[in-house]
Order: sequence, then structure tokens, then C-alpha cells
Amino acid sequence: MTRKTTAPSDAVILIVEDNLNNFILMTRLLAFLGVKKCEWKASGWKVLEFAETLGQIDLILMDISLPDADGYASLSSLRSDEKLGQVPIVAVTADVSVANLKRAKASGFDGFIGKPLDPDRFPNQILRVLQGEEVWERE
Amino acid sequence: MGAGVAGVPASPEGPRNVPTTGMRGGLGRTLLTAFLILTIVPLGVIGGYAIKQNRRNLESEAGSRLLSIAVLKRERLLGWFDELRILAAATVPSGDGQPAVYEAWWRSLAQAAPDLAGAAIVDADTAIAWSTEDCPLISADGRVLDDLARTAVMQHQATLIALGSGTEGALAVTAPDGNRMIVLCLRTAAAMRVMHTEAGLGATGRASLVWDGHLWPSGEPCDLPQTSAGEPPMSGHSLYQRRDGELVVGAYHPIAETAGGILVEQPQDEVFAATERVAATLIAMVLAVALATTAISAVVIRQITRPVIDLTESALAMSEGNLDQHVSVRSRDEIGILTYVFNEMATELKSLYGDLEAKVVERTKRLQQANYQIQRRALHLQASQQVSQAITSIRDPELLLTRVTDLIRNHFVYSSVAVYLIAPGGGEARLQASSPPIVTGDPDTRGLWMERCRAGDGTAVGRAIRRGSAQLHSEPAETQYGWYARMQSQVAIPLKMEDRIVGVIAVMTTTHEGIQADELEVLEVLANQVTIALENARAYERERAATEHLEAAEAFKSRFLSNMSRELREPLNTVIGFSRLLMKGLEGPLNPRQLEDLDQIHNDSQRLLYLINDILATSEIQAGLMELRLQPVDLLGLVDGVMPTASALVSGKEVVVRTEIPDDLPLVLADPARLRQVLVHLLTNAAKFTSIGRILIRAWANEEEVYVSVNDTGIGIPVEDRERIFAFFEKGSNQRSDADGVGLGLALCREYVGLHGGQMWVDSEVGVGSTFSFSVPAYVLEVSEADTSR
Repeated sequence: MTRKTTAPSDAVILIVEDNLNNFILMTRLLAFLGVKKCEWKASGWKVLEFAETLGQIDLILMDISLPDADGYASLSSLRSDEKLGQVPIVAVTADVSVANLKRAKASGFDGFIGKPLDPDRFPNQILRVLQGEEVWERE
Repeated sequence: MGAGVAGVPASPEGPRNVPTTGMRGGLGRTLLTAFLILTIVPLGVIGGYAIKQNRRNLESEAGSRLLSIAVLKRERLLGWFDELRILAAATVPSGDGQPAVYEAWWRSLAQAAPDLAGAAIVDADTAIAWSTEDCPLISADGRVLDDLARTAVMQHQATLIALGSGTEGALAVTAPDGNRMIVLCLRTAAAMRVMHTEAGLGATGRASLVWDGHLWPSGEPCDLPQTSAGEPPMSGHSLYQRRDGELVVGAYHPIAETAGGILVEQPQDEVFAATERVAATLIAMVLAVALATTAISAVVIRQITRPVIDLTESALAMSEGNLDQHVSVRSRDEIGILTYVFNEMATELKSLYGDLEAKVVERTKRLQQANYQIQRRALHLQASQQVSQAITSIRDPELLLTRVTDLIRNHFVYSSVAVYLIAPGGGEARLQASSPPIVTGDPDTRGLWMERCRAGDGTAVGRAIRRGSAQLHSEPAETQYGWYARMQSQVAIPLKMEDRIVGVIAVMTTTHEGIQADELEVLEVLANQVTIALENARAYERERAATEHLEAAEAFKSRFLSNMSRELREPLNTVIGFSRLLMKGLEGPLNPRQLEDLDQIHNDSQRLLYLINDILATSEIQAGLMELRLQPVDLLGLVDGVMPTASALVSGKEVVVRTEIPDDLPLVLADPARLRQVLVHLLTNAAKFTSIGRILIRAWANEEEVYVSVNDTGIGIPVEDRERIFAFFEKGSNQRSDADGVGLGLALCREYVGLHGGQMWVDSEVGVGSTFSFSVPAYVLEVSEADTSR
């Protein structure tokens, strides 16, 4: 699956994460990459609720264990959304089991990055995603 | 007979070809032939014999007659001769007379005897003294046949002395004085007259004078009857063929002392005419007798064959199954007896057949009964088998018993079937299932089965529990129609597991004959099957519960590990992330002490993460979910990559880390991350237990595999621990209690190597050091292409 390449400095990344600290960490780490704008939503449901208020989104990093609806339910909702349907969605989850990875692939995620994030590798992983590469890394 | 014979071997199923005409003709012809032979042959033999005898008699009679005629003729001839002799002798002149005297004598003699043709006087010395002119018998020298003349002289009688051919006959007569002989010449005609008169020879017979084999006077040669051999011919008679070809009967009588004789002949035709008449009569008689015999035979044969044919037809009718045969007895002979016996036999056969039929009917009836029993039993067995089959697959005891009652009721066609189970404590049995099911408030099923039965409470179920054996009770059912008699049967069969009664199958039904013993046996067998099925279902239930429990525990464990891993990772995310950010000085400069503390935090959180990863890996390996990403790996490079880590591990110790790896070591087919993990763990382990000395990493290869070993100069591992250290959650017994790790590392290493298709083992000596070695498959080009496509 080839996607358009987006430069980190131009990219707008939506992080769906119920833990604010994780969002902050990711924002900091992405800053190394040059990403200037990160959006935060605490759940998939909220993403849909505020989809209209969101501007251009180039990548969605989504936790799977979310309140209200989990990552898989949110994924299918987002996929059917007119505006966000085409945006690549990468799962970022602490459930790094083989089963979960397979499920993520089968469900239609565009990538998988296991938690805890490796602070040294994370910027590079996102860079590769933005360059259109598929990233499926449990650790 | 030809057609009859051809018809005899008729096919048994085809219509019978009865050869009646052939038989009739055959027997009739045989009998007729026999009769004709019996009549004609004796008649012919007798007739032939009679004709032959008659002919012989006639022949004998004719011979005798002809012979007597011949004798008679001779006597007459001799008589005539005597007359002439006496006449001549009486008148002859005495002494030597003169020729004139003799002339005178001849004249007077010729007057007296006109039959004489001439005469001569012969002297004693046989000279002719005198003769008439025509006396042909005198020879030229005047001498006659002296011997004959002499004989005639001596006997004083007339003797025929010559009968020449075409000549006159001559008669010699002795003169009375004895010195002379008188020769008298006879006239032929006279002699013939004497011969032919009073012949008595029928129409064709004749008498002849024969002289020296020739007829006289014609002089023809002739045959004489073959009387006997030798000359002169003797008197006799016989049958012969004359020279002119005529068959005749002839008789011959010689004239004494002469060459002459009398021959009398008569043709056989005339002689045997009577015989031919007899023969004709005989043939006519034989024909008449044959005709009469044929006629009589026809009647007799008909008398004989008709009963035989009647018998035959009756026998054939019998063979075709019509045993009702009677042939009327027509005669008191053997055939009559045969007919009588045949009738007896037919009656006997009919009665036997009747008996047989009665027996067959009886046997058939018994056979039908037996068949009915067998069929019933077969049905029961089939039903039993079907029920058994149907219930073996049912795992739920309650469902099983409900199905059992339904199946038994349907297959055996009972009014109702119920199963009681012994309640805990064994005192009473409770109704567990019934067919039809008891519906509260339904008047049809109410009171059909009691809810509870106790041992010995009087019910069939109670008796079955108390006695432990099948109980059958039948009684006439109440009915309003007398003709519709039926039996109501109740059966209770205990369900026995070994000696323990676990329940009772109860059956209630109403049929014509009630439940029979054989049916009870089938039900008992079925009850055993039900017991087994019930026990199986209960055992299955227990097993299933245990399995479910186990599965639940397993699932819980898996879920727990997965959850724990996830829940522990979540907080680590920020711990590791922010500590790293701090270490990089992005949040502001840190003094060395702060940096040291931060490093500690970061390292420990990393260790915690590795631990969590190991736990997760363990659970995934155990669940068979671990997958390798195999690719060609340069082991030399991999070792180089871990060297900084190794150096870090031994920093602060008097330990050196060295490598001994050949440059031409082949590539290996491996998951580099896992292989690195194995290597790091072995180095970590070595570093942990080695305080002084060295750690040596070696590698070597053969055609198929590459071997790697990590050798240390540490504390070593006792023999008893060498296998245990590879087990999950186990550690060496000599490990210090403060040594970190939960005992997953070596177990995981061995699992990883095993997943690659290699092996891991340890050699150690306590106090000297340990060597952990493992093998991984060498990378072969063909294999790689197949694998990279995965």
C-alpha cells in the first residue's frame, strides 16, 4: 500500500489516547522529528464527535485500549467517516501479543507500534510511516 | 418304435410325450410274431416231414412195383422160351438126320410156332449140322457161342444166347438126346409183344429188354438203376436221370445166366404226382392257419395290451399329480393281478400323500410360528440395537434418559416407558424420565407413573429394586368387549452397574399375548446398554466439567499474562520515555549525580521491560503462537553488535570478553532479533556468575549447522542443576538469592533455538566455569529463496 509522503514539518498527527501523559510524551518525541502540530482526543467517539472541528489530519496514532469504544470499534467508525476515512491509522498499544498484532492487521490498521515506546526509535518509526512505509513493530 | 424311443427322455418340466401308439404297436407286433412263429413253424416242419416221408414211400412203392413188373416180364419171357424149347425138343428128329428131315421138321415147327424166324442144329462138337437160311446167329465157320450152348445142353433148358443190335434174338435149346443143340432164332416183333403186353406201367412207363447195356432191339446204350456195384448188374430199383434228361424211377431184373435183363422205367413226374398234391394242400393249410392265428392274436393282444395301456395311462396321470386313480380289473390273469396291485398302490399312495400333506400343513404351521418368533425377536433385537446406537452419542444424562424412554416406546411399541433413578442414599427411586412425559394437570398421564418408588413397596419398580432382577407382571386387561381379550403387562428392569442398582426401566403395555420372556431378555440386554450409556454420559459430564475447569484456568492464566504484560507496559511507557528525555537533556541540563540516578531509573525500567517481554514470550511459546522471521544472518556481525553490551556487562570486573570466530563462517538461517536475544542472555548469564577471568565467544560450522558457544570462568553449575536451569521459572540452586531474573532466560533461549531447529546444551565444572553451546541451521541458498517468500 503506497501512500503519499508527508514531510514531518507539514504533518498534522491526531493522537487518540486516554492517558494525557502518553500524549505529551509522544508530542515531545515527535518534536524531534519536526512535527509541529499534534491533535489529541481521548477516545474514538470524541474523534467522531469533533471531526468537523478538526482540520487537515495526515496520520492517526490510536491506542487500542480506550474508554467507551475500543480501538477496533473506533477504527471501523473512522473508516466509514467521510473526512477521516482515508487517513492512515497506526495502532499504538501496550498489548504487544502476537494475537493482537494479527488482529490489528486483519482489522485494517495501517501499522502497529508497541508500548512502551522506545524513545530512541519512535521518531524514526513515525518518519517511516509518514514516508509511506508500513511499520509493524511490537517492541 | 423310433418315435416312441425319441419321446421317452422328455424334459421333466415340459408336457409329457406319452408313447402309447408305439407301445401298442410294439407289444402287438411282438406277440403276433411270436404267435405266427409258434403256429407256422411246427406246421411247416410237420408238413415238410410228411411230404418227404410220402415221397420216400411213393419212391419205394414205385421201385418195388416196377421191380415186380420186371420179374413178371422175365418169367413171361422165360415161359415163352420154355414153350418154344419144349416144342422144338419134342419134334426134333432123332439121330443124325438128313437135311431133308430137318427141313420137314422146320416146316412143321414154323407152322406151330410162328414167332420163330429160323433154326439151326449144332453138333456136340459145336459144328453146324443144319440151319435155315435166315438164322443170323450162326457164325461163318458154323459155330455158335459154345459156352452158352454147352450150358444150355447140360441144363436141358432153353437159354437166350444172343440179342444183337438190329438182329434177331437167338435161343439155344438142347436136344433130348443130349448130343445136339437146337438154336432157335426169335422174331423181334414177337419178343416185343411179349414185353409190352399187360405192362401196368401207367401212361408213360415202359418195359425194355436190355442186352449187355444196350436196349434191344434198337441197340441204344442205356443206364441201369444203380443197385449195387459190380458186373453183371443185379436186380434192384432207384431214382436217376435218363440220358435224354428225364428224371425217372427205374427197376432192373437180369435174366439168369445171360447178359440180358429187363429194365422198367416210369417218369418221376407221374410217380410223385400225389406228393405235389399233398404239398399244395399243406401250403394252403399253413396260410389258412396263419390267417386264423393273426386274427386270434389280434383279439388276444388287445386283451393283453388294453389293461396295460390303461395302467400306463393311470400311472402317467399319477406322475402328473392326479392320485385319484382306479383301473377296472377285466381279467383274473397276471394283468388282472397287476391292475389290482396297481389300484392298491394308488390307494396307498393317495393315503400316504394325504398324510404327507397333513404333515406338511402341520410343519408349515409350526414353521410359520417359529418364523413369527424369529421375526419378532429380530425386530426386538433391531430395535434394541437402534436404541443402543441412538443413545451412545448422547452426553447429557437427562437428555439421554428422555431419549431412552422415547426410543424404547417407539421401537417396541409400548404404551408407556419410564426411567427411575435411585436417589442419593439408595432408599428410593425417583421418576427421572417417561414417555409420554407426565404433564401436570393432564388427565391422560396423571397417575401413569408414581413420582417415587421404594424398595419393596409392592410396585414392579419396587420389586425390581429389592430383588435386583427383571420383574414381569401380566394380567388380563379390563375391556368392555369379551372377544377383544388383551393382556396388560408391566416390566421393571433394574439398571445395574456392577452390583449397584442405579435405576430402573419400567415398561407398561397392553397387547394380545403380553410381553414374553424372550422380549424380556432383549429388554434386559438393552437395560445394560442404557446403564453403560448413562454411566458414560455421567463420566463424560464429570470429564467435561473437569476439562472446562482446566480450560478456564488455562484461559485465565493466558488472559492474566496478557493483561499483566499490557498493564505493566502502560506505565513503563512514560517512565522510560520521560527518563530518556531527561537523560538527553532536553528538559534542561542535569548535574552528574542527577544523570547517574536517572541512568539507574532508565536501566531498571529497561530490565523490567525485558522481564515483561520474557513473560509474554513464554506465554506465547507455550500457546504455540511464537513465530520467527527467518532470514540469512551473518553471525560474525551479530556478535560484533553485542560486543558493546557484553563489555558493559563486565565493566568494573576483572573479566575480559574475547571472540574466536573464523572469518569464513557460513551464514545462518535465523530470526536475528531472537538470535541476538539468545546471545545477549548467554553473555548476561556468563557475566553475572563470573567475577574474574574471561568470557570467550566461539563459533564453528559443519556442512549443515553453525555452532556458537559462550564459555566463562565462573562458579560453574552442579550436575543436578544442568537440566533444571532450562526449565521455566527455575534457577540454579547455588544462585544467590539476590541474583536477578525469574528463571525465564535459559528456558526461553532453549525454546528460541529449538524453534530455529537447533539445540542448546551446557558443559560445566563447578568452580572452573560453564560453557553454553547452541546450534542453528546453516543458510543454504535454495532454502533461503523458499523462506524469504514467506
